Amino acid sequence: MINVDNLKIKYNDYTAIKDINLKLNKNETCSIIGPSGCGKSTLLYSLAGILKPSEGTIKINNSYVKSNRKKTGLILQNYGLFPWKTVWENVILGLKLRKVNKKEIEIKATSILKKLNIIRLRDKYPSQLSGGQSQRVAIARTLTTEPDLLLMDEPFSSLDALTREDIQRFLLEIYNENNLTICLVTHNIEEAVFLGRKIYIMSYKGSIKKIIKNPHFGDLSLRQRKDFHSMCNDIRMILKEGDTND
Amino acid sequence: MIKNKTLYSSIIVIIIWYLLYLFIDIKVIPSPIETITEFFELLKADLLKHLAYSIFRIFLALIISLTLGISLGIFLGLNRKYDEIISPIIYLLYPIPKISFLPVLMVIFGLGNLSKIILITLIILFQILVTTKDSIKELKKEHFYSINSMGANNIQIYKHLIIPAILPKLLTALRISIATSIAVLFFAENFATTYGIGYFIMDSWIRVNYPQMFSGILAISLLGLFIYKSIDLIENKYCKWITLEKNNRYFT
Repeated sequence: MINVDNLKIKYNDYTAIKDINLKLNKNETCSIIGPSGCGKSTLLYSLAGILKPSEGTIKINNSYVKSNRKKTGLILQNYGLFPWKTVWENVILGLKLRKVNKKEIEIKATSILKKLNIIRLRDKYPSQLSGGQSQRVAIARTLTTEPDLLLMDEPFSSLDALTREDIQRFLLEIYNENNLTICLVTHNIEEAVFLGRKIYIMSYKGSIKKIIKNPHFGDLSLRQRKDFHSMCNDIRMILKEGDTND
Repeated sequence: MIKNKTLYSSIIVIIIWYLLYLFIDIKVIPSPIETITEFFELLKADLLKHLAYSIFRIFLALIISLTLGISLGIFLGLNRKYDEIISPIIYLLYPIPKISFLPVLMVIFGLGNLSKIILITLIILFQILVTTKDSIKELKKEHFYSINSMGANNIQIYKHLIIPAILPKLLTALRISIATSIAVLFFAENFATTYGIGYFIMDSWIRVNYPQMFSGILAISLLGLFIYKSIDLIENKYCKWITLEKNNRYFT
């Protein structure tokens, strides 16, 4: 599905990420974790086609990513919802931009809002929503366009612990139902372990330090298991290693 | 809570006006009742024509300054390179009272409508231009990322992102600049014209016809009120989200 080869991205003279090699199969998930400023969001935006590679290539389904891809859904840190649109208007925006006819929009969006349990919020504005509700709206907006790849940039960072776990579980359910491929950027170790089959650990210099395979992925009750915590600890150690060595 | 704020404030203003009329017993303040009667009488005569001239000048200036101000504002807001070259010049010209150029404008563009319209345009244009540019700069990159990732084309980006984002501040800028431009128009209409509400008021004053002068003041006030109310209407229809965000503030 995703094939990143020797990717390097520069902002003017500053190299944000370099030597990135990333492979992700269809219907797999990966988390990208690293310290603040390590370039993990840059990597995600380049997968979304928003930032162009300075060197190297990005292929999704064997074709080069040059601009945004129709089947890629992007969910941003602060949800990227437009404050001037109601929940309904926000959710249907993707379909509207693709000139889907009104009837189809109505049917698709209603069913997704119902499924995410936010249909009663349809006439509210983002400023009237709680963090968890906004997050659901952002997910709903992305799902309406029926993506096969979901890219998420620290989507749960501003939620309280319980809401966060709730939405993470919910995301796994969506993943299972829709045959999605998910790539998630986070600075939260537990989130990385809970949601990533592969975990890419980045160094603050903008390259990948280590790739960990997560055999426990997909277990909804993973948090209660010992393995979960020992894995989190391992990752914590790897992240810390970088601080002292460099 | 007061339900009809305009009605409430009109009553208060008329009461104060009436008290002033009673206690300051000079001719320059006529009674409200006399003025309102006179106002409707004059409407049948030529007050409406004077008002129409003023409205024509303001609206033409509005259309020109909105078109120029918004498009130049968006262009500068989105292109930092040109913004760096042009903005310092705008900021230098912005605080200059444009009315002081009336003599120059009258020499260049003649004594008629054109110089008056250009003067008002200059006043509104700067306000619109600066506001548009600044509100574009306040837009977060996440908003652009998010609409780009959905595959929006340029027209769609304007329709769903840029225009709705600048609209609330644009309306505020209009409120401020229209108040100034009515005041300036009042002044400008005292030169080389025999039509316009400014001329009407000053002419009544010279002829010591105070009820008529006050009818003119009433007319110009109603004109201002009408424009304000229209802006409110647009705001309520298209910027509902701003009112909701205002409700979240500490001082409501």
